[in-house]
Amino acid sequence: MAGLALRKFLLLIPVVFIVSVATFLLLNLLPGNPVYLILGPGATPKGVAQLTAQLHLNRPIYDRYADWLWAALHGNFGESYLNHVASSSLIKQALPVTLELLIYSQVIALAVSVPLGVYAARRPGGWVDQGSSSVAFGLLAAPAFLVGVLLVGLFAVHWHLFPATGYRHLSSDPGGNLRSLFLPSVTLAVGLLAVYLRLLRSDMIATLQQDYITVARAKGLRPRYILWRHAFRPSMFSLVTVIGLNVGALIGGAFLVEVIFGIPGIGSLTLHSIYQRDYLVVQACVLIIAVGYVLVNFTVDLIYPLLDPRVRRVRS
Amino acid sequence: MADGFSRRKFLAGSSAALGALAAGGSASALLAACGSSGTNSTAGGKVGSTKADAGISTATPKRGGNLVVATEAEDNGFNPTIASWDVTGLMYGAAIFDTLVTIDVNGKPQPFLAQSVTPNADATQFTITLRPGVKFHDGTAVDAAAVVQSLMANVQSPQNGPALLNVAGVTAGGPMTVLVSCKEPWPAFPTYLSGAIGTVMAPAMLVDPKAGNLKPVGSGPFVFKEWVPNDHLTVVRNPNYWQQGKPYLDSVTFKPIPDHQSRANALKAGDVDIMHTDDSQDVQQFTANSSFVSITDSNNSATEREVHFYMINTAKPPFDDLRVRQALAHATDQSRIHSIIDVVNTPITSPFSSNSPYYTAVDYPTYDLAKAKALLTAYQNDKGTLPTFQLSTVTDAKDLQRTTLVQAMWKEAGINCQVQQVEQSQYIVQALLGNYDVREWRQFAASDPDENYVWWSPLTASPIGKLALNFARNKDPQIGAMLEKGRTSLNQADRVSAYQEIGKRFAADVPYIWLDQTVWLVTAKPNVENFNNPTLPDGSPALKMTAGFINVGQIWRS
Repeated sequence: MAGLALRKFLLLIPVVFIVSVATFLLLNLLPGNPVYLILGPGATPKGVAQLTAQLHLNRPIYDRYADWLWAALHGNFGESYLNHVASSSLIKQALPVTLELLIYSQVIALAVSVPLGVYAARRPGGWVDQGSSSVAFGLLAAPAFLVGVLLVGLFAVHWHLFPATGYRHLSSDPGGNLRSLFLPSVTLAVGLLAVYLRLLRSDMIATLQQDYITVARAKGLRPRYILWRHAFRPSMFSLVTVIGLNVGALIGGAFLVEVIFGIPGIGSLTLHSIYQRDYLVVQACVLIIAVGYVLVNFTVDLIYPLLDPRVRRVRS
Repeated sequence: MADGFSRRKFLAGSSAALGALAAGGSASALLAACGSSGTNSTAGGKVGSTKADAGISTATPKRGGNLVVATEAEDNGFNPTIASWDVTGLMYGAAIFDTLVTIDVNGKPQPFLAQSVTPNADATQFTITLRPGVKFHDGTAVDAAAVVQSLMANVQSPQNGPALLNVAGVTAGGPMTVLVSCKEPWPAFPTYLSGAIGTVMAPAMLVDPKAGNLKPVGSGPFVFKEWVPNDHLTVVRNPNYWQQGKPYLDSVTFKPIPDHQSRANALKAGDVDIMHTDDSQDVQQFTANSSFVSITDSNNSATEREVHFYMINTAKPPFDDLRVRQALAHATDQSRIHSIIDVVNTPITSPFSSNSPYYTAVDYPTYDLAKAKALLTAYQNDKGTLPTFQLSTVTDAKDLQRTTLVQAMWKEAGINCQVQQVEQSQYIVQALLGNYDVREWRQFAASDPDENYVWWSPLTASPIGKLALNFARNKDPQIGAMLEKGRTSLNQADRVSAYQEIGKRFAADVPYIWLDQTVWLVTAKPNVENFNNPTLPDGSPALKMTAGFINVGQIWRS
């Protein structure tokens, strides 16, 4: 297990390196110059030259990349061109917000989809199965921006149950934190839970047809016990994989949701920085997101053997 | 802003802001116009009515409470020599800092943090006398040395310096006296002290300007407490404020919510107390909603408001031919754009609003398809071909919608152009270098028309490929002469006639195809009092809401 973890970890290094090069090149090769954006229409040749030198934008791109990479390895992602705040500091403020949002949305999606999926698989074709399938397809077809706007219209503007925008810190106001993230989390969770529900249902149906389940039934074990102890865990295999893979889509969704709900997360920060050509902040955000995505999937890989003894045996 | 061009949606917000900063650094360059907040009557008549006394409270102010203000954007800091302040930055600035001068209800500069600003006989030297006993939030004195340091930071700033090229020197004439000398007469100079340039920063902020950009120290009504970029700025009451009794609020939280719909929802849901917007739909919706108290700047006329237009690169063929420019103007149906997209904005035929003292009727080539076709035929007969070109705008849905509509109008006249969307920073670069044909633009808000000197002067119209602040590269010597007259003349009547003449020259030269003036709305919960009643230190009325500027210094909650 430790060897497997080490091998997988070493594979992360080239992935992260390639992501960093690609991000740096992509942003620096785009048309546009932050100097003009910072100076605005009043840019003069003197001002442009002065600021270009100040920001080291007159140096070759490989020099700038090398400097940036070296500093990044030391935890220094540079400072924002615009407000001179350290990128790491901006990320430190924004990342926990997005992580909270992602965790809440996963929790909501799983809390709804797992019981429904298991119950639907227990009686395929029953009213719970048919009803949940219909709703799941409907939710899958609903784009996040539409769901978000509808939720705001109903729960915030009309009924005043939740705030329409903004974020409360968990440490200072736990209740407010949950309220402020409820609608955004539900918006993100809606698309997820439909996928999880359908996936778990079909895997559970397949598992329940396995011989060892028949044996368990023949032994006279209670149906609920068989369902949760014998069938559920091996049926989670695909679900766990999709949870890991979905992190990417979820981060993409978070960009939109953070804008709709005015949440100061990494999505808002990245978008804002892209608009402002704030290269160093964008690079830092993209790198953190990419590394996070790779790490989540690395963790998922490590979880497989824990879920299913057969994987442990094959790998050993 | 729905149809802006960036975070600050460059042309709608940032451009005007940056433009104002560079041209004059004047808050009031953005804050155009004033007047009563009476019933709004734009040309379209589609703005709901607001009460004449909306946002004005005569009751005894109540002390305490927090106010949450939703802004259309986030800013990039608090040092106006580094940060690009748009209307949000100016609001942040007014909470924490004081300006030497402010603009009164009639659009005239009046002393604010300064006790007086006195020009010499030919307006080449200004003596700024400071108020005694005023302290910055860190306890240091607001004296001549501090003000000189603050002004010199602007003079030396790549961002604000170009607006102050006429300044020959800034020196201390005594402990509480600052002398500003100019290279040529400049009666409009005090106006420049009403905004970013006149914002007085504490010396502690300027020791390390970058650090100071994040931790502002001013002498304003509120003291900086916390800033989390893109989330909130919190300021708390300055108990030692020099205007005794003010401010009334204990604290103010500014929350940037760039998406206009989310901002409107935040107010309706009760998350915020007051907000501003220039989105046409929101303006209509809130002015018709009696649950909120709303004001607009549609009738304000004390200063010049931001105008919206298509800018023509007059240095580039075929636009160096006046007939082509006139044809484009004749082919543009303002009323159609107004009825479909910019429903609350006021159509214009000059950069000056019809109730501005600088306005005069001009012979602008208004919509006339037959004339457009005739001019194009004449051009084709001479050149053997019809003009084809790129019509550009930024990457914003509403701007694209508007520009596509204009493309269709021009097509009716026989003009073929391709619509091109350009990323914002590239958009600025192209305008500066003259690498464009015709493009959508917003600019020219000003407390005093002199603030537009650099944008209109033939002296700043460099050839294509060189940086030029006169983006249209319109080299009209008469405009140059009038700008000089407007800048240096001590006689207001002469200045008025000079700028009126400039309006006429624009109609003759057609470097700009005028569209409209932006209408801004400020709307609040009913318990937010006095948000449209700013006053001068002596209690007389100051400039009312313009360009979405919310001054929190006089607001209280009932």
